[in-house]
Amino acid sequence: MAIASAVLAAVFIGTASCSHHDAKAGPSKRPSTSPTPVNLPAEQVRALQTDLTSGRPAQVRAVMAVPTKQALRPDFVRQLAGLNISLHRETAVEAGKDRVEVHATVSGRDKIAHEWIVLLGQEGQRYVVLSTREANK
Amino acid sequence: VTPRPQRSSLLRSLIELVAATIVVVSLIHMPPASATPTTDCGNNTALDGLVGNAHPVILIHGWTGKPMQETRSLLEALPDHKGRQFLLFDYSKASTSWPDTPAIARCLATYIRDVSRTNSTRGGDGMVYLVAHSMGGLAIRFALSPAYGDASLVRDVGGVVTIDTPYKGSMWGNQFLSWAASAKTHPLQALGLYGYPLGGARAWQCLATLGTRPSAPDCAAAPPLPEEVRLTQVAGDLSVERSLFGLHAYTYNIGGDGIVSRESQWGSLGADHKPVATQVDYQQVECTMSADKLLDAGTGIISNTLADNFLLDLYQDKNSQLSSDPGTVTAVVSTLARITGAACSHSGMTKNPKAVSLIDSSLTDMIARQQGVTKAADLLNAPVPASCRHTATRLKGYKLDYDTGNHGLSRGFAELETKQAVFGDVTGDGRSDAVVPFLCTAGGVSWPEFLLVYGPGPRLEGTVDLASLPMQQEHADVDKLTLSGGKKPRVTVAFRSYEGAGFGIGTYTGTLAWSSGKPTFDHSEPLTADFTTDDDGNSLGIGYGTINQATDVETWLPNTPPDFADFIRNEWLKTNRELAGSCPSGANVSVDKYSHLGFASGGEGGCGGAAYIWAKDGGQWRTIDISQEAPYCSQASNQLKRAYYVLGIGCYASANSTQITNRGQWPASGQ
Repeated sequence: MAIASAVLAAVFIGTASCSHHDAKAGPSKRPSTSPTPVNLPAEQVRALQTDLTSGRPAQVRAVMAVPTKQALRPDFVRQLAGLNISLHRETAVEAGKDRVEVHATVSGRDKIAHEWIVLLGQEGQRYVVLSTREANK
Repeated sequence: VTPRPQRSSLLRSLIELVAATIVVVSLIHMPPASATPTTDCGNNTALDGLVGNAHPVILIHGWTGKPMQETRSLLEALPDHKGRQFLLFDYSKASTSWPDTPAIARCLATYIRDVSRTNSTRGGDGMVYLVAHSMGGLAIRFALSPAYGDASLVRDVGGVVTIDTPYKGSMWGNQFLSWAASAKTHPLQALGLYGYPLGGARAWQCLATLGTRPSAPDCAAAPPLPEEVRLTQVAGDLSVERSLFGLHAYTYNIGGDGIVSRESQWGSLGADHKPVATQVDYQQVECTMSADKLLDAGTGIISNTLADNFLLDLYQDKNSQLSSDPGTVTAVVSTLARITGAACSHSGMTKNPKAVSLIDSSLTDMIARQQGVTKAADLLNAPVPASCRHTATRLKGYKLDYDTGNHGLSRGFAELETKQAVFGDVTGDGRSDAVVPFLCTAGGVSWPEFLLVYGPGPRLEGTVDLASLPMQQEHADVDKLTLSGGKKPRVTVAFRSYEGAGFGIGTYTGTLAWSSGKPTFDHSEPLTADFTTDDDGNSLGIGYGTINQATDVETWLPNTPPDFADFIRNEWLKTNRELAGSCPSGANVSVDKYSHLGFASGGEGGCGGAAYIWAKDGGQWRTIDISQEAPYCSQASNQLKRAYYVLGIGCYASANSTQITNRGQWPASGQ
């Protein structure tokens, strides 16, 4: 986080002020070095898929980083339960300290498959979902 | 999540080394820092084009900011702009200094005064309106304080609107990030090298959240905004909408604009360190940002992992190491929000259409109030003077309900009698004022009422305390206010003064006028004291006003002058002597009405009697009429006609008439 603060401080120095300084976002800078593969335990992947689609808020919370007092929308838990999520553990790569990126195929009632990239964070001996983004974006 | 390492002290040392290098290089190329800060007042909008027929509005930017040109453009694009002139106050050269520095506070005070005077000399009302972003709101508080400007300056300010002002500080004040942003604007100032550019305490330190983060010892507390200044506090309120696989999981409210918490943005406090609720209009501009969009923005600037890490800190507020340092997290989110154009981020608010609309509507309301007090609703939260064991304060819904300090045994109540209010330019300043009675009770019977004069704002311009008048009795109730015409109208006040539950009632008229900046009250026309009825006109029954023995005078004729009391006592003694032996019940003398103008009416007798009218003639009381039925008007002497008028006695217009003449038809002069 210290490095992150410093990098963001650089962003601030370049852009921040209180009134009327125009900011412009720079071009995307994705890491270009080869990612390091990570061996995601199969049982953890299965647990993630099962808990995310369990339809139970407590189980969903258990595999997702959520502020302590933040409630999940009931619709969200219900809609998640309607998805078919397949995490492809063979695609897992390191994405920083205690972070793993893994591809997933997700389909809903329409059975149309969408590719997502899921960012996982290691919490003790297990992983939780930090964020997701569409693979083709 | 595994614990994160502490911020690198190595990194901080490196940055400080770089900054120190900048200092050294700068000192080589610049003159030495001056020990005496200059008061160069920046490039404010020139007053050449100021006109009298538009209301001047000064826009004041924030910390590390520049003049609010974009906000001005948006305000000028609104339909109401033609009645307003927007002026830019520029303290960008000193924008990293704490605003108690003369280059901010004194310059702003001077600019406000100059704008007011120029507007006034060009035919305007001289009222100036202030709109500030962020720390600019604190600059206003310093500028309007007598310690930094002119004590009378506040009278020239029609209202203040603040956007995202950190009244209670900012959670990322006195932090590395705020230092960095300050260093970008004025690197030497950020390092505390006073004298460059304009001296004063360093705002990045002083902006620390009050009570939770230490700030520098030279950070002067911003003085409270004078309570007569109306204030609208507009708060930006950002929420982040988080999704997984495109499904909306929850919305996380940042609790502010990312830089300043909502509590701080709404945190204006009065001199007693309590919120001045009646002075303040709390407004809020909400917006929601997608976490995915924030992530994209973060990825565009830094990397997806770092952006994710920041958002994770936000997600895990209780678990993260940074939960004890929320300023960093929210500042990060704010920065990302700003980059992605979040409408209610700290900087986004200066061009947020809803925020601009709120500025506009607040100005409309404040300007309308300054046009004058024209209706009762303008007095809803009016200030009132101390009375009835309450301190000077503001009303809530025209009323006060308060603890009298009597060990919780009684509560006080006070209220403006708005139904009796009159509106007109009593003070002669060209704007409508209000004169309105103010009643109060400290838990028991009502106290003598006040007459309060309100000017635009509403501002309490003057007070007449009916308890202070010479006829001072236990109560004084206003019956009616009447406004006379003319350029500087006077207010005729009909009121009654009485004792206890309603005896010894004196009915008076007074005239309230305005002279030398304060109200005058002439009450030279007292009419009568009615000893027989209460203030609702009901008979008080036998006893009141009637004496059956000489010693009754003090009991039943209270508050009459000694010469009249002696006269009535002697009348009773005389009548009693005349009736000796012929009337077992003895004599009685009753006094119905008494006037300070030297007239009284009643009856004398015992076992029969007659109506009497007495008058003070040549310094002595004497009987001027004795009758057993209503008199003929035509037969009355001028003195008796005057008595009829003063005492409210009717008479038959002629011997053939059965109509009693209304006493109002009698001339006051008795002619």
